[in-house]
Amino acid sequence: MGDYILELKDVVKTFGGVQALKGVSFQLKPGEIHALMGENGAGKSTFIKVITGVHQPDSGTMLLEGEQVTFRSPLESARMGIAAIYQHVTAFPDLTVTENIFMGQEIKNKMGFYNWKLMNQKAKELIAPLSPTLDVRKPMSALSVAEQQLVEIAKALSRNARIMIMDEPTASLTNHECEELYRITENLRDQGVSIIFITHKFEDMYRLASRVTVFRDAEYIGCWDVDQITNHDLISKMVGRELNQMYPEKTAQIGQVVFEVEGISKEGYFKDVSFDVRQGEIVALTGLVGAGRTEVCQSIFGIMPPDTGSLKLNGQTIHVRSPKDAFRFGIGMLPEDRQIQGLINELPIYQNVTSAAMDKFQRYGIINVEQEKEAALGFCQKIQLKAESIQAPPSSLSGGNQQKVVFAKLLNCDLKVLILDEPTKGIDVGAKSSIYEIMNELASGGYAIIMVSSEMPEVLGMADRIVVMKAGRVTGTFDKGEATQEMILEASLRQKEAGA
Amino acid sequence: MNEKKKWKLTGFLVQWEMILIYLLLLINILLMLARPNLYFASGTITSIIQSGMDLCPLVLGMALVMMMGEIDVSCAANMIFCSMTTGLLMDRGVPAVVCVLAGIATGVLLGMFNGVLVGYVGMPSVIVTISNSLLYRGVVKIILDVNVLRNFPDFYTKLAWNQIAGIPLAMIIFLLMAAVFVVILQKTGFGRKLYIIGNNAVTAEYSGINVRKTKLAVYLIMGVMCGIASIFFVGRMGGGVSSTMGVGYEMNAIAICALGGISTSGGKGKMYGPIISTFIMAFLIYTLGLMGVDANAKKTLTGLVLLIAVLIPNINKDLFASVRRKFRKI
Amino acid sequence: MRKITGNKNFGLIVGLIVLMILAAVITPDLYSVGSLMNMLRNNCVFVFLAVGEMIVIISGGIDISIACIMALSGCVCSLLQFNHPQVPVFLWLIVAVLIGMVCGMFNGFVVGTLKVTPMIATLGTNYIFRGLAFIISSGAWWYPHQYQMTFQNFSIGKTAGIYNIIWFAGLILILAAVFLNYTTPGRRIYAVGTNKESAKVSGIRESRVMLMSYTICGAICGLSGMLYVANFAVGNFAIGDGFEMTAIAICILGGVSIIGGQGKVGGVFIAILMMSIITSFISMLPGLSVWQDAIKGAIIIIAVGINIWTARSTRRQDLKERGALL
Repeated sequence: MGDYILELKDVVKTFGGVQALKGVSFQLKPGEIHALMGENGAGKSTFIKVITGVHQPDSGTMLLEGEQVTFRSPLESARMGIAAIYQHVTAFPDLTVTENIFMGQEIKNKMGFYNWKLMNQKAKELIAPLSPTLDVRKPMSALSVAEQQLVEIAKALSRNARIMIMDEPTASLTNHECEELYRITENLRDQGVSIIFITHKFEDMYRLASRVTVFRDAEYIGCWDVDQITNHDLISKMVGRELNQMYPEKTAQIGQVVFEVEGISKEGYFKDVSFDVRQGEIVALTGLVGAGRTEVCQSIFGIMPPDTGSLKLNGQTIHVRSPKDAFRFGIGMLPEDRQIQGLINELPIYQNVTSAAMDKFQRYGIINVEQEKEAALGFCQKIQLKAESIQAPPSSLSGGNQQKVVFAKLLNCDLKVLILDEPTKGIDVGAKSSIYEIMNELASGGYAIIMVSSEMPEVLGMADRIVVMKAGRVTGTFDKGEATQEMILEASLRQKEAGA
Repeated sequence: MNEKKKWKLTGFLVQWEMILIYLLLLINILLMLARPNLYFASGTITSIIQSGMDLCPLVLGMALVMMMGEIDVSCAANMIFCSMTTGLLMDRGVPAVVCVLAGIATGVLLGMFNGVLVGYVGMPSVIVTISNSLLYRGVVKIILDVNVLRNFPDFYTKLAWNQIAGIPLAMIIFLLMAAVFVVILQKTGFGRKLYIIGNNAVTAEYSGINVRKTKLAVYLIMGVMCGIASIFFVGRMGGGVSSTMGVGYEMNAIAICALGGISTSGGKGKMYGPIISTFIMAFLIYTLGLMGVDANAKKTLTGLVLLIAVLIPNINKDLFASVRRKFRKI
Repeated sequence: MRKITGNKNFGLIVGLIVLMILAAVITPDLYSVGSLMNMLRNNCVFVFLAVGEMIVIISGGIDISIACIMALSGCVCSLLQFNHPQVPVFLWLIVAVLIGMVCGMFNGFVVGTLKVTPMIATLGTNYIFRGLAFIISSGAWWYPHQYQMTFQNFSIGKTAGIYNIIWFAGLILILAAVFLNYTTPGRRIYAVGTNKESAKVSGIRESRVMLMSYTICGAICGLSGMLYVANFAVGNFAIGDGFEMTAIAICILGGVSIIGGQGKVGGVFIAILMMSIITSFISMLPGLSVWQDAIKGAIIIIAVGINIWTARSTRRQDLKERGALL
């Protein structure tokens, strides 16, 4: 047996041409808590899924206690004592805590019937050190996120897991719950469990981890002892890259303020968010995943109207209660998940393009298909869509071209304000730059653009102004000239001030 | 990028609606060969078609509902309710026009109740319409008990049984209505909305389509069709209605739509399909009747046809996918 | 106290008690032993149908063909016992269950393996089974004098003073409760119904579970067919028309989630009792027997409405709690 309980070497994983892991390495010592850090999209999630066998690596080796292993499914890795607690808990929501813990290894009596009494008792014993008051007979769906995580931990313990992977477990916990989790995690370590702890929070790392590994852009950057690296160094390791030349020179003239968001709040999602956008300007809304950026956009767009606060278009207060209203006022949105929110995969491209403003092609309710196709074709050519035909369904296109279809859909509406939620998500590098070209042209065309993005270079490369959010609040606003990667990251990690 | 996808003859000939037409022709040819005397006798074809027309308005409405990915199991009960309204008013000597309009208005009202519960309250349409089916028919039972209403406008029976130059009147009206529905679903913005909602309701919402309102509108249309269906139905039944009539018609309407290629999960199919299928069902059931198969035994075949019809596109898709995968490997 | 009101079936039980009191005040005759027994006996068929339907719905499907399976097995049993009086009647019980199993297996195959939408698949088989029932019976009706007494005794014979069909129904309820709560296959039905993706990751095969749940449902409905004809001593291909809707309605009322994953035998049992009391109580009131369906329909709509409303208010509560974090 080597020094490491788990070791990965040069692991490569690609998804349809996009490299999610470019030869990363990782070593986990027995009985340590090892922090894994990196920006959104650095490849951490893919990395875990490779370890647990959800994905199979294209190349590279994995050694478990010195012996080479390959997992074809999560079941196999679980059998070898590896357990993962995912950020979005995957459980059986209608089943009880007990049953979720014992799924697949139920305790039965001699007749082959479930022994609920014993199972509940054992479940209680497993849960008790984690949360003494939790009722194991409750269904999973009745639990808070923190409690669900505890159940997952208990499940892992019941399987005698030797390696536990926790994917941002503190992301949606209160301070008090975090303290509890720290205590539990330390207890686990003391019992000899090796833990990979993925987090965005420095306080997690300092509190728990002995070593930290940093990933950036699907690459392994390095591994340090926690007490030998400063906060500042770590940030620069996480973001330290050259801004490359894929971002076009901005040509837009910035004009008057077009759209103002004034102190909007939505219970449970965000509080008191204000910013404005000028004509020809790109304002980036950034921060960590879960900071409430998408929710702010959905509020502006009328998907879930804000509880309080107001929106102003050209100085006049507007009430947007539905996306229909938003389109009427000239506000359009490119949603985050184009498969679920942006495209109609079974209908031809041209119908997708015209779907948000069909009225233009209708007379007495009848659609003039020729006119519709002509218009759609015009927009598709304008954004240089590469498709066999506008009659083809979007499902036949690559990710970048699918995104262009959604762009064309927005062009077809007469808009003033564009909200682009992660416009380059899941798009490969080559196609990204053409999306940036389109954004630049739109800005030049006089649109006011709000861009949500988790990618630091994209934010710095494209935005004229940057609004940073953390936990539902705006924690910083920067102009293009003054902003640095460090400042943005610092703002998106900033602890909320006392009393706030 | 080509401006237009080339119109391909082969593509046209193998689409589902054409297959349905072949099926219809095949049944006709079989009937013609098996019973030439009967087939060419005057009145046979007419009566076959007339026999299939009593639920045709329900089929048209159901196609829109299913296109959205919803369902309406209460339509037969709704239809009987409408018939009752008309019949009761007739009994009290109200002018026929008012009675008929009141019948249709009843359908709209009941359809609205379905639509509000599905669209605005957000209940699953299966549950809503199953229980409303009980409710609507239940109310009819309360009001009518075991009585039979016999007082209906004359044109009800004329519509169902008369012909113009040998063409059944019911079919002419059905085809006229069908034409309207083809235009609604295939040509108008409203129809396009139904396709979009059926395919992806979330995208529809993000595209500024008022999904709730559209759902309500479709259930209202379904209500109108239930009202119109009551005219066809009561006429076909010879101008009488009781509370137990028309049980199971909703299932027939759903089956015809599914056979016509309207996907039950929504968003797929064309209006032509259910229209052709209405005739297929009529001919199929009649042909089987001629072969001495009893009305109830025919159900077995109806079921088989439905299952096979639903399976064919599935199997096709898998087949195409596997062929494509193989090509990609090469 | 909170433990009592927090119980999922609390509303149902309160409803049941209110109904019973109402019935006691208005129609005291209902509470004679004889009429109670008759009430249970005549509604027992819904125990079978609803339990079968419940198993399918929990697994995430729906079965519209249950009443037709019942009719098919009812016809076959009637025919066989009439044509072969010498064969011990006990055999027909097994035949009934087997017929149901085969029908259910076919449903399960079409839904689970061929992946046809459950609603449409069972709508199709609904026709097929009903048609088969007709073909096999050649449209014949069987009347009381054509049934052997030993055959009828399966339902209307008494053991320990209680009709046999009630014993059967009780047995099915207990078996279903044990199966769904204490055995691995039973729990797998819930697992598939609540989250197909998680089930896959946990190594549960959806198609097999669907096949199983439909087969069990079919078997129970097959049994119900024979007991139904034995109970009323009347059989034809058309029996039970529309019963599937009542069974689904009972499930919904009993708290079975129509999208799968949730539902308890206890809830369904209470819902059956409620439905039976409504039916019997109303039929004892002169002129009100016709109110049954309307009342059933209204009750379901209201019950589902309350369900949705409580789910929404819980969600609002959650958001409030989350809001405190910001």
